[in-house]
Amino acid sequence: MIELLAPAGDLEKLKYAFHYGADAVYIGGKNFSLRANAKNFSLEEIAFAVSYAHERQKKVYVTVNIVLHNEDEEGLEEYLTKLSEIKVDAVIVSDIYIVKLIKEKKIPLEVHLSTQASVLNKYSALFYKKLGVKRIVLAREASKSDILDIKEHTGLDLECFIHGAMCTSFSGRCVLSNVTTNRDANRGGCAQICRWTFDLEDKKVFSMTSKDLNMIPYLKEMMEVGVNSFKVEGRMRGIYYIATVIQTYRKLIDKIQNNTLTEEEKDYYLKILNRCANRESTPQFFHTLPTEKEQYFLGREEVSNQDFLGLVLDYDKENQIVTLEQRNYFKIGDVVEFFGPNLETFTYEIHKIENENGETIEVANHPNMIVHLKVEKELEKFDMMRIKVFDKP
Amino acid sequence: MKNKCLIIPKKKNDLDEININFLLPLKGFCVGHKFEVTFEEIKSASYILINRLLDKEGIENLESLFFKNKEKIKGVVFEDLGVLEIIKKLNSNIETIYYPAHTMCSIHTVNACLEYIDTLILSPDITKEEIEEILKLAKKEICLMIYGPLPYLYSRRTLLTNYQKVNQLPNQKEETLYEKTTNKQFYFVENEYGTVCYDKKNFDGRELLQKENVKYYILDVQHTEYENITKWLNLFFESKPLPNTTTGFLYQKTIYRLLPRKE
Repeated sequence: MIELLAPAGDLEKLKYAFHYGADAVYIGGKNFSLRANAKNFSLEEIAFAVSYAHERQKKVYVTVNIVLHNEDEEGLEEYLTKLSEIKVDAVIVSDIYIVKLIKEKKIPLEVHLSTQASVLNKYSALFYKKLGVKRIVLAREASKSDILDIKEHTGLDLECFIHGAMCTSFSGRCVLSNVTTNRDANRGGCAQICRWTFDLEDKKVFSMTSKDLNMIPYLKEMMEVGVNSFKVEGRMRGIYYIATVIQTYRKLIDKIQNNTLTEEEKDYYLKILNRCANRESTPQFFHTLPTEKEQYFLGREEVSNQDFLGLVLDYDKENQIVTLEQRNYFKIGDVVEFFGPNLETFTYEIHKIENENGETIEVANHPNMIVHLKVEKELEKFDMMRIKVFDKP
Repeated sequence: MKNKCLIIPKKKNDLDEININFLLPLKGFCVGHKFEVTFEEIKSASYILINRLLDKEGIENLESLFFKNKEKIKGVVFEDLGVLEIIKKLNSNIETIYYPAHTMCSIHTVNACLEYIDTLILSPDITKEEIEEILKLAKKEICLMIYGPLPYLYSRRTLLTNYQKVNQLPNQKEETLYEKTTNKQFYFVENEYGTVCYDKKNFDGRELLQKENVKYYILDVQHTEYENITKWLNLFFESKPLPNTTTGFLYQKTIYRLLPRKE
């Protein structure tokens, strides 16, 4: 059983991740986690998240993957103890001190080694296995043969990124943010300097930005070599991104396992993912090393989009009326589509829009305004409406 | 003092100086170094630098080379913990010196790691105050980087080649890059195993000399101009001013949480 692991920057995103098909989420607490400037979870929120997840037979992993400085240790043991009392399913750790602290203090927490530790080979994996690590989030640079070898020699649970933004460096092997902005990358303050431009001595403009990762072409092979968990990057992303990406991978995984995935469907899902992220994504290290084709240089071809049009708040079965919260401008005549976890995505042309007062309007142009549309197919709360761009095969 | 130094050399001639402890980048297992040596070129037991993160092929090749050449290895400075497991298998007295460039930042981490290794090199990304506190409390003697270009980024990608291909430029394996808003200059160097970005200036940490609990001081002279390494070292230890240097993070404490905006 392969696990689909989603990012969740806050409780709302966590609920969408589970609703759209994630088996587990990873979240950060207010301290000791990277993404220091995300909203993140208080201990009370983590407790709620765990209870919410466990009621649905899902899991919650908490990132404790800061690289400690002397002053950061204060409160750590108490925090870890609290996490164990809350019964989080695992913590994701990179600092060896934290791994050892959990073991030595016999804090009942499962430890997953963060990708920040950059494990690429069996001996490195074995070192961490001896420390008590149960799962390793491999370096994004791991190839198929690296993964296979580590699995064969360690038997550890392996987690691999399948989608999302990439560091230009090995994760954790970059302090450009520290030196240029004083923000500590390995304590969650990364200012993404690898997306800036630099001048060469002849004044030509140099850039080194990586395209995003997507592993659609190799999901099946990843399953075959023993990857246990497919991880999606993006704790700072919004609910539309989470819903779209998680639903897409849920469908892909299920279709692969049922042996029903076609090439046309792969192409379709790839287009959906690229459009949703507003960035190009490609497989990167699995079969060959990335080249210039896996990087952005000057000028990206994608344009910003406002595809997310509305969020379903309610559906009146009797009158076939959906209540939507507007998220981007739409109008009568637009061709859109509805998607959701229990819904076969379908196309819909907008013929009539009513506002909250039941008045007919031509456009939905106010952020978060409530509107009503007549839709014959049954919808559920948390389904979404987006611009239709691609034909489904 | 000099015999407590491990020096990463710049050129082959440097190795003729017999009174210097060199730290030799091993060809095929390093990134960010233009001058590397093979085991064939190493004549006596030496300190070896392995600063690559090693994939399956890399770790297997290294294991095989280490077994064949273990008498030539006095100590190993390594980034990848897999190297430690190989050294254990060799069952010899090779000194293990762990150097994960950016993660040895706290006394807690240092002491946790020292249970598995002989010594380690502190991250050069921390302040002088943090270094002094760690030295005071470390369970074993540890190592300090005191001179050389600070490494800021290590990528598995061939960033220079990729850029040059797209722009149809001749292939250069090293470039100086300038960032306008911060007025910083960086030096990028690439080989088939990836790209390293360094500060264009050399870190001068001589104020860290004479500290207690130091096993080795590390000097990397690969970007330093000199005729003779011994003469240059004499100047270095005489505290003569050096051109184009920086104190790095010694007085630059990093932050990681932005303060809320004032209304």
